[in-house]
Amino acid sequence: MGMVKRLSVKTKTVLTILFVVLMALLIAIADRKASDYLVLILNLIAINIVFAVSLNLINGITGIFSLGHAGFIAIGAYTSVLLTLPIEQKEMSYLIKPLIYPFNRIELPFLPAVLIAGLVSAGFGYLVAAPSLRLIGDYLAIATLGLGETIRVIANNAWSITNGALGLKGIPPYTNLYWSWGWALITVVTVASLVNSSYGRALKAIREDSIAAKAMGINVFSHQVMSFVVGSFFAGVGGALWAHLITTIDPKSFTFTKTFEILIMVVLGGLGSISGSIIGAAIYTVGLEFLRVLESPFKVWFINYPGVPGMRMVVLSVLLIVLMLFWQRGIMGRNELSWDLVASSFSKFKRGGKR
Amino acid sequence: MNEVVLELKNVTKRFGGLTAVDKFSGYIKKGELVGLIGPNGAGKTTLFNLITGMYEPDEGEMLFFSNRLNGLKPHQITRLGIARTFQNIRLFSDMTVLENVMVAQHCKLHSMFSMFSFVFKIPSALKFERNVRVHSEKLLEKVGLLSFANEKASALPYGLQRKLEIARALATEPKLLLLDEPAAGMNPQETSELMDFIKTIRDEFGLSIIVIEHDMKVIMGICERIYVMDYGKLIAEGTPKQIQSNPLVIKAYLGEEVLL
Ligand SMILES: Nc1ncnc2c1ncn2[C@@H]1O[C@H](COP(=O)(O)OP(=O)(O)O)[C@@H](O)[C@H]1O
Ligand SMILES: [Mg+2]
Repeated sequence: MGMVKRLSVKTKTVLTILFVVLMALLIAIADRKASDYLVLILNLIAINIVFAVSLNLINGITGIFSLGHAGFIAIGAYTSVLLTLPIEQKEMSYLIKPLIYPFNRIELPFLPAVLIAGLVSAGFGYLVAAPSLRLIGDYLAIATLGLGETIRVIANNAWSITNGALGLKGIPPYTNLYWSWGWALITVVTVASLVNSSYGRALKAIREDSIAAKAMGINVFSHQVMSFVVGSFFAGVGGALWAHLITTIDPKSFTFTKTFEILIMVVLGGLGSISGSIIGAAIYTVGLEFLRVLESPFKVWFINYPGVPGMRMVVLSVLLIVLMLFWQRGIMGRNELSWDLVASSFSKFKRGGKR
Repeated sequence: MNEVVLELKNVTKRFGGLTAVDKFSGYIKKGELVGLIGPNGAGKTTLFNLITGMYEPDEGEMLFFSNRLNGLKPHQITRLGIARTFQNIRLFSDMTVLENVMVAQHCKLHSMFSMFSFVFKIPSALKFERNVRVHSEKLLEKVGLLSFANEKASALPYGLQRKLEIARALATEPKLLLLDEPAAGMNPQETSELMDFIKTIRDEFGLSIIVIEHDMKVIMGICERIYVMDYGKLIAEGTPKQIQSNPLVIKAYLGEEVLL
């Protein structure tokens, strides 16, 4: 890294502000001019950034292998929808069993609903992480996997809360580009500030060697729980955003496949790299759209491809396996994109051009 | 000057049928440099693991100043003022040299909730960060590692990794430092430099230090007192002179032609 050009703090701050303003402008333009389809993709990218960055905090930075993200996304989605769904819509939806009090009387605006969704999800995160980290430590993956599935099974059967397998429809489409990208920004800034602070160093130390971390006076248990709770908060927020984008949710929306997808984004971008997760989320979301062709019939020369529903997931699963086997570091490894890095590759590019 | 820092009374640790530490009693005073020697498998590392809370003793009592260590968690013991290094280097290898030292000061933050002040970058948190950085750089300068500050810990040569581990332990601001075979894998030249270094930090930081060493000759020169263990038991205690001529010690080491 000796070649990396160092910019002053002031330059970097100015560049960062310029970048955010530029993004905001692009989003404002997209909001007005872009097609519905493009807006949907852009929303999905932002929400997937929220999912990937939050999972990366847990899996990549802290090094506890959680497979329960879909469960927390479900909690956030259901919580927020129970709060925002119009009362008449609730009366119409809950056919098998009526919705319990107080949700049948509540109709909240989007922002408080998203915040509460995050908090409820964080609360569940605490309830899951505390006992399982204390009891089984390294086997957290299995516990969280079981938990994610348990939440889904509960959602399937708690008719008077989740409307069971029928799911919830007619969710107000509150999620727009401002909300989704606003929350993506909050997620990235929060997680990055945490990771670049003393707490982030402690989390990385735990990932590197938890025994040495203990010997350095770090309370490994409470830091792991903290990381899990913060990750669950943003999973819940992302779940709320997602539900108000797709406007229909049911327990099948939150299977292990959802966790698996987010895991691909994180691994693709680089476990432990926040900018990697952002890149991974963007590539995955766009890639998934391109792979849609695999699900409809087409003809290559004289071969008729019938179009297999679910084919793109198969392709992506294979991709993850290949990634994990041959390219574990992903795009960014554990490095972060920084202005220093951009500046030095830019000047390298310029020098290369002159020669 | 003669205050007892750590006192162990009949400390015992069993692993199934094996008694790794058998009724060990001993003490260290303020400013003392004490050696802990014994053949491989004697129970020296296990004793460190007991003092630092990695294992819980089956019997006996451990007192650090007026605090009972029994039942405390490793991080609590570190915060009381006991730091250690490991026989097999355990650095945070993917972090930089500077970060390794910085993270050892994280324990000065006592509440998990101060996390929010770091996320929102309030002035007190920024000040903490600055202080930690300045203090860490000073420490690295003292141990001669400042020029490596931004290297990955794993990129350091072996001898410097050992030194970094000591610097990291010092960053927790200990009163008692436990060094587990710090000279392992070093040549005689490096070893003797390291021993001088240990003596220097003892004087400079006003520490009490216990050094585990496999090779008796290495610590003869620097330790005021030596404990000798064999099969979990304390078999001798005294000045280097007394230990060298102790028949029990000679017998314990006879199996290993390396020494004496
Ligand atoms: N966690 C453990 N489980 C079982 N046996 C152990 C454990 N740790 C150490 N021992 C045993 O205790 C004895 C003392 O080991 P140790 O303290 O590492 O010796 P030393 O550091 O003096 O070489 C050895 O026989 C070792 O195999
Ligand atoms: Mg040992």
